[in-house]
Amino acid sequence: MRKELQILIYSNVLLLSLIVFYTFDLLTLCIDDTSEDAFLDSDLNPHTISDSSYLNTTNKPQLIPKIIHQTYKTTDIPEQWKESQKKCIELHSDYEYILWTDEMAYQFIREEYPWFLSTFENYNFPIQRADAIRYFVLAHFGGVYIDLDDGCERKLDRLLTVPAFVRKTSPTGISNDVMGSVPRHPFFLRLLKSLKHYDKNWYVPYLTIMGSTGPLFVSVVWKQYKRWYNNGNENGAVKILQPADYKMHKDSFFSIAKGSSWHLDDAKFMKTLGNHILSCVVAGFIFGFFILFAEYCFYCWLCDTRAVGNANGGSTNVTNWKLLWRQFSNKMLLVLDKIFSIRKHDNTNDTGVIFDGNVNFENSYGKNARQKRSRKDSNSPYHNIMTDLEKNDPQFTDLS
Amino acid sequence: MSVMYSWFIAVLGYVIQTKCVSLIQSQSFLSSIDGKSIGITSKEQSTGLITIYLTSLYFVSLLLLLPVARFYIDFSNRNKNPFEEFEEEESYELNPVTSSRSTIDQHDELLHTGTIAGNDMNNDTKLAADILKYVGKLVVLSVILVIPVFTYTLALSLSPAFDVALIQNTAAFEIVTLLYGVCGISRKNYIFRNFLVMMSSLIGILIISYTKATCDLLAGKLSVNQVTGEVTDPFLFDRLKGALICGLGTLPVGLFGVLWNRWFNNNDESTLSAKYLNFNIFSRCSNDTKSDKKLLIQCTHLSLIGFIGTLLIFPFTPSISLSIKIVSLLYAEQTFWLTLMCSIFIGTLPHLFSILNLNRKNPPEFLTTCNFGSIIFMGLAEWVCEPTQTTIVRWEVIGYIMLSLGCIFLSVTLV
Repeated sequence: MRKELQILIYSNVLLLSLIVFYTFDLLTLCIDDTSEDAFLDSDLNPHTISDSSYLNTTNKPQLIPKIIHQTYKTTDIPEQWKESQKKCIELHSDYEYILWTDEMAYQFIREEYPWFLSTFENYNFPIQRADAIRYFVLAHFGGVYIDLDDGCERKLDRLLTVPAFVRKTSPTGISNDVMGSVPRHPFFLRLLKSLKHYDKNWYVPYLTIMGSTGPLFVSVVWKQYKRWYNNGNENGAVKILQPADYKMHKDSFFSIAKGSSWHLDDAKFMKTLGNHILSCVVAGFIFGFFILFAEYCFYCWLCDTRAVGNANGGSTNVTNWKLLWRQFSNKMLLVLDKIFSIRKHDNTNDTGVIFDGNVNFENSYGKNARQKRSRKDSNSPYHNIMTDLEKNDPQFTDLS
Repeated sequence: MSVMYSWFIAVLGYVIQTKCVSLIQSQSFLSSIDGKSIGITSKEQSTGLITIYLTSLYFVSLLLLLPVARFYIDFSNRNKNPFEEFEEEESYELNPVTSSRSTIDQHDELLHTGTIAGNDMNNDTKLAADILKYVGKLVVLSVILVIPVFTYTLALSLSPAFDVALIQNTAAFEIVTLLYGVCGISRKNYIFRNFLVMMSSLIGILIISYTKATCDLLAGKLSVNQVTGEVTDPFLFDRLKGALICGLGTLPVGLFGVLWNRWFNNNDESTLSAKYLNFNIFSRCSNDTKSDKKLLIQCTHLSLIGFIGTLLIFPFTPSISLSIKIVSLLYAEQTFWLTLMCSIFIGTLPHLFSILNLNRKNPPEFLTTCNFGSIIFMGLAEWVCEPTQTTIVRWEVIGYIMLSLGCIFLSVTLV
C-alpha cells in the first residue's frame, strides 16, 4: 500500500475514533430504550385493570415526598402561566408548594452547596440557573418539579410510588420540565456532580443551554447513569413517563401552555431546521462526501507528483517531499500568474517561465511530462530526455 | 440496446419501482386489512411484515432476469444482420472495463474437449474449490445487497417516495463515486474538474431538498402551528428516521459495486464457475456473441444472488402464518396486484437489466449518472402524478437545472 494512502487512512480512522469517543453518549441516545423503564399502564391507571391487580397497585407505598417545586425569577408570575400554577396548587392541597425565586435559589446554593456557587453565578443565561436549581432542590428535599407552563390535569399520587421519574421527550432522550425523586437519589446526585463538567460554552446559546444544564445534559447523564452507575438497583431506578401519560391524552397528568420563554433567535433557527429535515440529512451526506473526496483528490495529486518525482530521479523521501513542495509552489504560482497576470516578462524564455523565487519550470517535469504523455502509457510518467539535453539539464549528461 | 435507451430505462424503471413500492407501503392498503381478525396487534407489526415481504419479492424478481436476458438476446439476434454483430464484437473487445482475454472462448474449448469434466483428481479438487469460492462470493454479495434493499423498502414505509429516492440516490452516488475512485475501478482522468461538477450537482440536490419543504408548505401538505411557530408534521421524526435509515443503509451499495466489478465484470475465474453452474444455458449459446454470453452470465450471477438473498431474508420473517394471512388479504385487493406487478415487470426488471447493460458496455463510474437522473425524473413524476398538489418555486427550478447540467456533463465525460 502506498505511504500516502496509509497516512490518509490512519488519519481518517484516528479522526473518526476521536469523534466517536467524544460523542459516544450522544450516539447512544439514538438507541431509544425508554420502554423497559416506562411506567406501566397498571401503575398509573389502576381502574383499567382487574380487581386483584388493583389491590396490589393501590397498596404501593408513596416514596417521593409530597412537595411541588416550581421556579421563576420573582413571585410575580406572568399571566399566561397563572392558571397552570393555580391548577397544580388547587389539585394538590395536601402537598407542600415551593416557588423558587432567583433570590431564594442564590441563598439556597450559597448555604447548602457553596462548592457550586461560582459556577452558578457564572452561568451566562438565567435559564441555566433555573435548570440547575431544580436538580439541587430535588436532590436535597425530594418531591416533584413542574415547569410553570405545565398545568396539572390529575393528581400526581400515582407517580410518587417510585424512587424517581422523568419524562420521555421527542425524538429521543428525556426532558427536565417534569421530574420527581426521593431526597438524595443517586441519579440526581450524579446530575449535581456533572453540572460543573458540562458547563461549556458552545457559542450557540441554544446548544450551550441544552448541553450544559438542559434536556440534552440530563439525557446524556441519564444514559451514563444507566450504563455505569445503576446496576439494576431498585432504589436507584429512574422511571420514565411516556408521552401519552404526559399530555394530550385522556389519562394524561399534565396539559401544556405556551412555554419556551428562553428561546432566542438561534432556537427558532433550530426549529426551522426541523421543517427542512430532509435537507439536513442530505447536507450531512454531502459534507461527508466533500471531505472524503477532497482527500481522495489530494491523494491522487500526491501520487501523481510522486510518480513524476520518481521519474525525475528522486529516490529518497526527503527528495520527494522537496520535490512535492516545489511542484506545489510551482502550481500555485502558475495559478496566481493566470489570475493576477503577474508574469515577469524580463525573466521568461520561449519554453518556460522563471519567477522571482528562482523556480525553474523546466526542472519540474510535471508540466512537460503531462503534456507529452501519450494515451497508451498514461500510467507511466513520460520523460523526454532529448528535451532535457537540449536545455542542458544538469541531471543528465549528453553522451553524444 | 443503445446507451441512451438503457439509461432512460434504468432511470424510469427506478422511478416506477419506487412509486409502486411506496404506494404499497402507504397506509391505503394496510388500512383495508382488518388487523384484529388475523391477530395483528399493531400497525408497526403489519408494516414490518410487508417490508420483509417486499424485500423478498425484490430478490425473487432477480430470478426473472435470466429468462428476460435470454428473451432479449433471442429477440435482438433475430433482427440483427451479421455485420452488426461483428461491430458489436469489436466494440466489446475495446471496452476498457471488460476483460481483454477471450476467456469464454478458452472455456468453451475446454468444455468441448472434455478437459474440465475429466477424470483427473486434481481437476475435480480445483473444480470443487472454484465452485466453493464462487458460492462464497455470491453469498457475500447477497448479504451486502440485503441491507440496502431492506432499508429502502423500510424507508418507503416511513417517508414519501421522493424523499427516499433523493436520499438513496445521493448516498449511492457518493459512496460509489468514492469507492470506485479509491479502489481504482474508475479512471483517474480530470478528477478535480469532475469533483467540482459533482459538488455543484450535489448543491443542486441540497437546494431541491430544502425547497421541497417550502413547496409542501405552499401546496398545503404541511401547515404551521400559529401558537408555537413549528410545522405541524406528526410524521417529522418518521421522515428523519426514514432518511437516515435509507441513506446509511444505501452505503453497502458502494461495496457491492466494487466487488461486483472486481469479481464478475472483470474477472475470468468467476465466469468459469458460472459456466459449471449453467451448463445447460451456455450449451445454447453457440450462436450468441461474447457480449450476449457475458450478459447471460451476469444475469445468472444476479439470479443466484436473488435466490440466496431470499433465503437470507426468510429467517427474519416474524411469523410465517401471519405473513401468509396478511399477504392473502392484500392479494384480495385488485389494485394491490396491479401495483405489485407494475413494480416488478416495468420497474425492477427493466431497471436492473439496463443497469447490467450500462455497466457492461460503459466504464463503471458512468452508472453514477443514473442516480442524478433518478432524482430528476422522480421530481418530474411527482409533478406529473400530483399536478394539483405540486407547487414549484424559483430555487427549486434552479436546483434541478444545476443537477441536470451536472448530470449531462458527467454523462458526456464519464462515458
